[in-house]
Amino acid sequence: MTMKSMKYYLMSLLMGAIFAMSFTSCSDDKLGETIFPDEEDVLDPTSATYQLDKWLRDNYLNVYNLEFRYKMEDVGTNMNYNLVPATYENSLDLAVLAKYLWFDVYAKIAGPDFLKMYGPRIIHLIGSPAYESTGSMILGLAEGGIKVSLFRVNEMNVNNPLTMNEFYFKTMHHEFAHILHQTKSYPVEFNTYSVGRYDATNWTYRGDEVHSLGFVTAYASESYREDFAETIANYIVLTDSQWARIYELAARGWATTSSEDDLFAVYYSFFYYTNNEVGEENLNYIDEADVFTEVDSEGVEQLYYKNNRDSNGNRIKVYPVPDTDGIDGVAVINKKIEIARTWLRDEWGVDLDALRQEVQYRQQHYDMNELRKQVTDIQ
Amino acid sequence: MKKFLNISLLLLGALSMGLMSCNHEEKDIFDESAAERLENSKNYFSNILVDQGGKWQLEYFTTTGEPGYIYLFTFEKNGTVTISGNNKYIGLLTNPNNKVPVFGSAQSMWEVITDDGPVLSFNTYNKNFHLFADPEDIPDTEVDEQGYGHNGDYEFDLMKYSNDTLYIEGKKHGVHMIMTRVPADVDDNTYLNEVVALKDSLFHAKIPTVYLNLPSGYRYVVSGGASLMLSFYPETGDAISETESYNAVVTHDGLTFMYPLQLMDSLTMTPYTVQTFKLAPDGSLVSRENPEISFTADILNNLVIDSKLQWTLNLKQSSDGGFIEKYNELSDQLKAANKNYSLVKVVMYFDKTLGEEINPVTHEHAGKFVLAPTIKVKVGNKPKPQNVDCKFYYDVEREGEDVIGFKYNGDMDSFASLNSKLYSKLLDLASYLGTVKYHISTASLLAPVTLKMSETSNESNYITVDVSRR
Repeated sequence: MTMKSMKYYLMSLLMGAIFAMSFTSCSDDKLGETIFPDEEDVLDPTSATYQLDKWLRDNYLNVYNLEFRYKMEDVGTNMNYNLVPATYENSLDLAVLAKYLWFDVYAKIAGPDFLKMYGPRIIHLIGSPAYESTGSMILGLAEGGIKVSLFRVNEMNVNNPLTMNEFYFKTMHHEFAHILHQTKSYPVEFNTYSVGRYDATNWTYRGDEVHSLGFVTAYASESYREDFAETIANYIVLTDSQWARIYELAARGWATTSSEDDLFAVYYSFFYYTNNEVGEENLNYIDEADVFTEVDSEGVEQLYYKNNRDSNGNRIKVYPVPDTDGIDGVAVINKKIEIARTWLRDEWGVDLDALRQEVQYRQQHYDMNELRKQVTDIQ
Repeated sequence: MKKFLNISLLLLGALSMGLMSCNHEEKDIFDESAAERLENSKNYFSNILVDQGGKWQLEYFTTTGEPGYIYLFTFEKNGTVTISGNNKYIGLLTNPNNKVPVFGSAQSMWEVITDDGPVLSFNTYNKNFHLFADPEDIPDTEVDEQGYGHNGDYEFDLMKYSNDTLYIEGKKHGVHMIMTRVPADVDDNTYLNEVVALKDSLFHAKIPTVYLNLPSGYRYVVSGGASLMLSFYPETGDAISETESYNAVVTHDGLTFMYPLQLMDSLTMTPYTVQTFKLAPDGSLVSRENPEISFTADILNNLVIDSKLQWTLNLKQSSDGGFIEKYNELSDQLKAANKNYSLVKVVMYFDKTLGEEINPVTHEHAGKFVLAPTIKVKVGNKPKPQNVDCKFYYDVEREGEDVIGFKYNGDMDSFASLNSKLYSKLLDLASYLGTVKYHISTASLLAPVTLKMSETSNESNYITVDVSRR
């Protein structure tokens, strides 16, 4: 090494040392204390909402790490919608019902840890519906598997089981189905059964004829994913007689006098001939509400037009519309249920039928006053 | 050497970098962290809200498409708030045909939450208040408002507190509003009924046009006061192209506009901005920002000759002497003639179609003031006495803003002529009006629905007249 190169060597060392110093001099930064106030998150017993807040903490937060948010925070919603808070009273009712009909059911059927693992982390109650520009209303949202928003809480009437089922219980299971399939995909085979029959924009205009297309509800015909969630939710919450009705409508033929492109087309499943004179020119469709059934002398059920007779004084005969759409609505619905059943069993270890049986029992046997007491008896 | 210089420069650069890297953050400007300051701010406003009994008045606005509404809040430390209002939408909650203000009071929850600043949130539903944020269709309109409703807010950024006034801003729709502290012992129902009564008295449907008076005397013509959707245009301007609309709310002691009125005095080219008005003892509304700006009806002697109005003699609130003495003499004379005859009423108005033509192009006339006593007497062959209007015509003489005289030269219609011959006191009454000048006063300069007209020569003689639309 020459003197010259020695100089360079020493100089390089010196520079390296200075660089190293410049960096190490910053290494004394330490994490400071939290910038947040050091306050214990203790419930205030003098608060007017103490009982509910305590019950929610004991039954949701401590058990499921779930915040049951009933005090509205607009910032926690989609600001494109105009929404209002839920009433305190309905929030209390829905809190205890959600636990009884949703969390407790899964705990019993799927085990106590199932919802701890896969349940939402936030349930947000909102008083009003969220209206879309199409006029349809959103009843629930599951966002990223984390948060479930339940809308229209202020319209809740615990004395009306039908609307409770339609607007709240079904929504809970529907949104949870979304969380589950957002976590583990369902078989793509499900998406093949109704290809070409979904309509994301105009599903709101569809009526009972959707069943014959293989959908459990009109909303199910919005998209694959909604179809999947609707299939599971309806299977769980609808009663046997409600399911029988869906199958009955799914088995029918449907026709309309309007163009199929007409959004407001009304579909019928019965028709008659004017003055009982059979002929294409005399064919008229008729609403089911105007049809009555009578067993004739040979023991065969006949359909007639209510309060109408032909020129000879005979009852006007009514005929079912032939099912010519080439879709076996009942079979398609059953296939969808079977896929959901298998997927829940294989992927999640959940017995869909046991779930349904438990929910059906609880839906028909809950005592609202007893459920409320869990909260109101808190001292 | 050159190399050495280069290396030295490099060393110097490295050294300065090293020193710079040691340049730690600036010393904290605040003693507390942002989160702590936010928490303190939350506690500060929470304490203000519950302090002194926790009762507040909110001048609540939704959009420029409807008037404002007064709400009373009573904040409790336990998180409850009692919200009271008195408006027609509260009435519509229980009666779909309701059209009048109805009082309602209900309890719900409140909280000051921390967002990007302290936010007052009414976070559980209160049927009397959240109805303005509810996205349902508004029941009494033809438009379908489903999806947005009134577009009202229920979360408010807390901007400032000063002199028992909170300045707040609707968090979603950005409307600035004012909350003022109200004594804790105020009864909500009484207070809000007084607000409704004030609203009814401020802008009277019988006085459809009022004026916003600027300091120089320049005026804006104002209409729509009764609905609190007020329209303004400069008196010397064009009623179509220069009209601007502002919505307002009547408070317990005055009027507040949703947005400041931007006014221009075209005489002095002076701009003015005013927003809040206080009810003055004379019944006018005086700007809190500039007391020289006020709302009044027209000047009083203009009002008497407003051709859209008529004035009916109010016997109960008139003195015995002067015009009423003549009135009583006529009444007695009619009764003496026939017990079924009477003096029914006396109406006065200005008819601008009468008098000489002052503009041959527009055929505008000078107009005549009309005194029209209605007497009940026998007419022609009719078996029962009939009401007959007898009209006497006067020229008007005005002095200042509140003195008026009526010059009578014997003009009358055929009914007056006929009946004056039969009942001499009728002409005496008409003539008397032409002999005196009246000083006009009123209890409310903004809604002068009743005028007191005192004789200038003897103020103890006066008549009172009530307005109605012609």
